[in-house]
Amino acid sequence: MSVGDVAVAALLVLGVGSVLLGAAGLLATRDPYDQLHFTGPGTVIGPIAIAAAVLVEEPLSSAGIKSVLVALVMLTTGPVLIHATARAARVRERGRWVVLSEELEQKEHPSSRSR
Amino acid sequence: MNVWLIAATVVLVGILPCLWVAMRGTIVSALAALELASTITTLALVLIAQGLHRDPFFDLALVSAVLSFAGALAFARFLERWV
Amino acid sequence: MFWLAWWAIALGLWMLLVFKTELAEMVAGAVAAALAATGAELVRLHGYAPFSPELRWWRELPRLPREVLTDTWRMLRLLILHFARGEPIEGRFRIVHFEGCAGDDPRRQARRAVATWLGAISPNAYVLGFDEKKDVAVVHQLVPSELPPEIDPSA
Repeated sequence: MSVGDVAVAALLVLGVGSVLLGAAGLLATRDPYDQLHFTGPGTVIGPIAIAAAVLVEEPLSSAGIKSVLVALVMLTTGPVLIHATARAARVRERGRWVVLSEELEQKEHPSSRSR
Repeated sequence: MNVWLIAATVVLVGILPCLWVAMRGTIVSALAALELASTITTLALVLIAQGLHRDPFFDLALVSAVLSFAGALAFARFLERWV
Repeated sequence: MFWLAWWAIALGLWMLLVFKTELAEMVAGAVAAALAATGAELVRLHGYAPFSPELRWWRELPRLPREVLTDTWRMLRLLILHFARGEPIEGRFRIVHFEGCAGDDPRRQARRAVATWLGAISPNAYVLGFDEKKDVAVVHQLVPSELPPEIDPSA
């Protein structure tokens, strides 16, 4: 087994693992707002890790370029979809997009970089 | 059988929880499950393409990625008040 | 100029996808790219998708890989604790101040769009929307953090 094979295997484990983490999270939670978080890792880490694995095995090939393009599409559109779904859920709940006055009382100010 | 096809098989197992949530959850949960299932199928296509060394499957994966986005977005829009 | 830029990008994408340098492919690509560029120019002329980001917003990109991996690790821990000890998974909404939220000019729209993308790229949080009158963003966070998520690209 060469270094390249080990790298490919590690990247595939990371990519596939992130997707399965999402599937497990989807089962574990009931609230749709919580479930939406678990669609994230598979959309971001999954395609990047798998595209990287393809590039390790076949650098500068048609396969590598196309897998990078797939990763770019998923990376750009995945977060947008999560936002759109969550927003649609809220509009469905309340009839229109609205921030409640009791929610506004809990307004926070972002300060230093921390998540 | 190579490591790519094994990865594709394992990743496709992730569709089963999505199917369960789509059947049993609320409609918004079902849409979240659909989005994850679309991600899984796109990635499975990439893995199968590399495992079988078939270039056209990469084109399938690219089309799947774009159309899944468009389809799920349409569902989300209709979910607001028409479905 | 805009049309030419789009044409060049579309043609480049076509050539990357076909991965051949035959004349027939280049001609077909040029025609397809012209159609795509015309479509993009029509959208721009009608003002359907005003989007004018600032170059300095790109400086947000380097922090993203670490945040994505850290947040994914936190979610994995949360799941393990949930399955092993039955600990509940409960996200919560956070109302975050977003200065200068309102406005339909291309720069403000781009700022809100980029903030939405930045907020959702890392799995622990995502932006639901903005209240332009009150200058706030509604964010949902799964694993709570002490400080609210950083989503403003121009901060």
